[in-house]
Amino acid sequence: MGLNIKVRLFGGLTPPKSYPKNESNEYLFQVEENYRVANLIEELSLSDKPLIVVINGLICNDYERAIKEGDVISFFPPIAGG
Amino acid sequence: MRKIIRINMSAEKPEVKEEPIGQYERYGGRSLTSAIVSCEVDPLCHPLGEDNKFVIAPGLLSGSASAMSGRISVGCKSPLTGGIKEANAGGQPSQALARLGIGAIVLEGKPKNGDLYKIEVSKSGVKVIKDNSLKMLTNYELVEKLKKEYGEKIAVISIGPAGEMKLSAASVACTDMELRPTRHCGRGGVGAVMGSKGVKAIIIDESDSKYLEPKDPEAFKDANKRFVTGLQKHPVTGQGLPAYGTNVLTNIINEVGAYPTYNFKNGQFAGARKISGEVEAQLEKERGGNPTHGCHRGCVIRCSGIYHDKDGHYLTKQPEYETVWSLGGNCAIDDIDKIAMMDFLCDTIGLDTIEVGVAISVAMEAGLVKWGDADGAIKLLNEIKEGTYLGRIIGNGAEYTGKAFGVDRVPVVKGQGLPAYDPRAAQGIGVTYATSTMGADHTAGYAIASNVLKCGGFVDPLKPEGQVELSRNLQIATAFIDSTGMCLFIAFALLDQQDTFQAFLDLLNSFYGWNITANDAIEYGKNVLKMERDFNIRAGLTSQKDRLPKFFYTEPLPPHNKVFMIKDEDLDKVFNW
Repeated sequence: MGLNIKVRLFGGLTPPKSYPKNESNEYLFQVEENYRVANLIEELSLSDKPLIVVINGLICNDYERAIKEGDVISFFPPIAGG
Repeated sequence: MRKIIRINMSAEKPEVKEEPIGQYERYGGRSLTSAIVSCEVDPLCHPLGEDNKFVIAPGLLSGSASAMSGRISVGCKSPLTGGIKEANAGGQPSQALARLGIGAIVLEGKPKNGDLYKIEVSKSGVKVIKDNSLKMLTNYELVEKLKKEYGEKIAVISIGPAGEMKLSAASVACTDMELRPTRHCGRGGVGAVMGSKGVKAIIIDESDSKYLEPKDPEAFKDANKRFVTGLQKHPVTGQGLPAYGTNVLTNIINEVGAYPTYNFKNGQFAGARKISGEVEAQLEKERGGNPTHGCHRGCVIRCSGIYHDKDGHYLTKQPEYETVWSLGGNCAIDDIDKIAMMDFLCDTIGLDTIEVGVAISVAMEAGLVKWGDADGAIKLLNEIKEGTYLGRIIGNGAEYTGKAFGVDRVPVVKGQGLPAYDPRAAQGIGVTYATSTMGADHTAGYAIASNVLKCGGFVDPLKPEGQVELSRNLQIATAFIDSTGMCLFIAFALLDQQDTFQAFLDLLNSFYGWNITANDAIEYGKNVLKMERDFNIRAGLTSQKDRLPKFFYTEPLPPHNKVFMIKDEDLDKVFNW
């Protein structure tokens, strides 16, 4: 059994190919145990871009973190305002 | 040599006096307004009385050919906070005034009768003209009338009905490149103080406007080139802000649980995506507006925009993140067109969108209007325009509204409404809200940069460690940048790119023939804060006022369920350097 996670892309980030989505525009992924944030970044072709990654409402600075069942992972390009 | 124009509004016929900048020579923008207010205004005066002064000052680099240098500061004793106030805006007036050699305009005294005046500023001098036909015009109506009289090569600083009624949420409007009154010195009731001086509008002639000459033109040109290159290569100032504007923040602040909604009861809003910058920019493109637009000539970041209604007609400028939050998310309103309508109403009535939005959310907490009721909120704004008793309550801000309706959860510091980031989920911005000389003000030390956006490093937003130092350093840097006339958004590139910071200093040095270093810039910023703190202490705003309202210390904020954790003794260390 894989791990089910949801992925949100913001600020003009787009997926490199088509993935299943729900009505909230979240991409639905099933990944293997020990799948890392870095693996997901690579899958989404975002490796060469500066990013802000938020997992379950917390800013993630460790891209070697293992993904867990039910994680909601949001990706942002560098943005600011105020 | 820049000059100071002083206008005595107490005289039977207002008197205009011109003097050299003298003792204020090294000051501009915020440092100049704060120096004049701190040195010349009785801290115990009534903010709307004849002893207060209303100071308008372009920044140090305004009027030059430098990119991004169009910010203008206004300063006075604030009727909202009771302390010193500086509020700044973009638009055209800063460059126009500076190019006429004006370092500051100081409105002094107070008319003895109820007459209203306009002030003409041109190469041939300054004239103060009684014009009661302008009474109670909205900002948009006023500018249309002035265009007919003066033509289109003008820049205008004005107040709307809220300023004339001397309401504590009244703003000062500045016209943009399209000669629309869309850029506002918003916070602290500065519009009320301009209104108390009996001045409706300042009309600045731009027809013969030329760049000011730097002391070292070659070095200046080189510095400006490096500065612009630095801004364009940074992903925030070169890509994120131009594409989506400031409202690009809605989604990320919501995702990290720091988006206050239902009057600071929850840190996430279900309707956030519907009112995000991404949606706003898409609508602007579809309807013939423009999501990438400068608020003044010489802006290379271009984070402002033009918002059209469903029929493709101009409605307002692109509502900023704080506006979309205050009049939208915090009131549980998720209709972006209605939020844009409220943005227009605030601009034309002359209101600070943050203060009035927080006041409306307090009124919603009191049950006056239902959560999410956009039409009810619009009705309240129109009541302010009409000057009804209810409108005047809301127009005097969040604290006043809380008192009027018996609400005990009122998110203010020193009487000023908290902006769009909850301090329990971004502890660093809480330090700024609590300790800023301005009352709760996000721009005074924008800790969100390092708490969330990872500009200038990362400080965990949910822990107390490192927040005091973060806020202190940002407050010092901001006080300096606010004095130069530069848009504060240059800071995102400056924090990450040493060469862009050096180019910024080189611009000042080559323009004035100075030789200031990064350390000098820090000392300059500290001096501005010292003057402001000194005024506040003399006005009675001592360290006991450098605190958040109690409920931030006791009510955990979902989804992280944190309270504000910075101890009082640590807040008191912010200005110990």
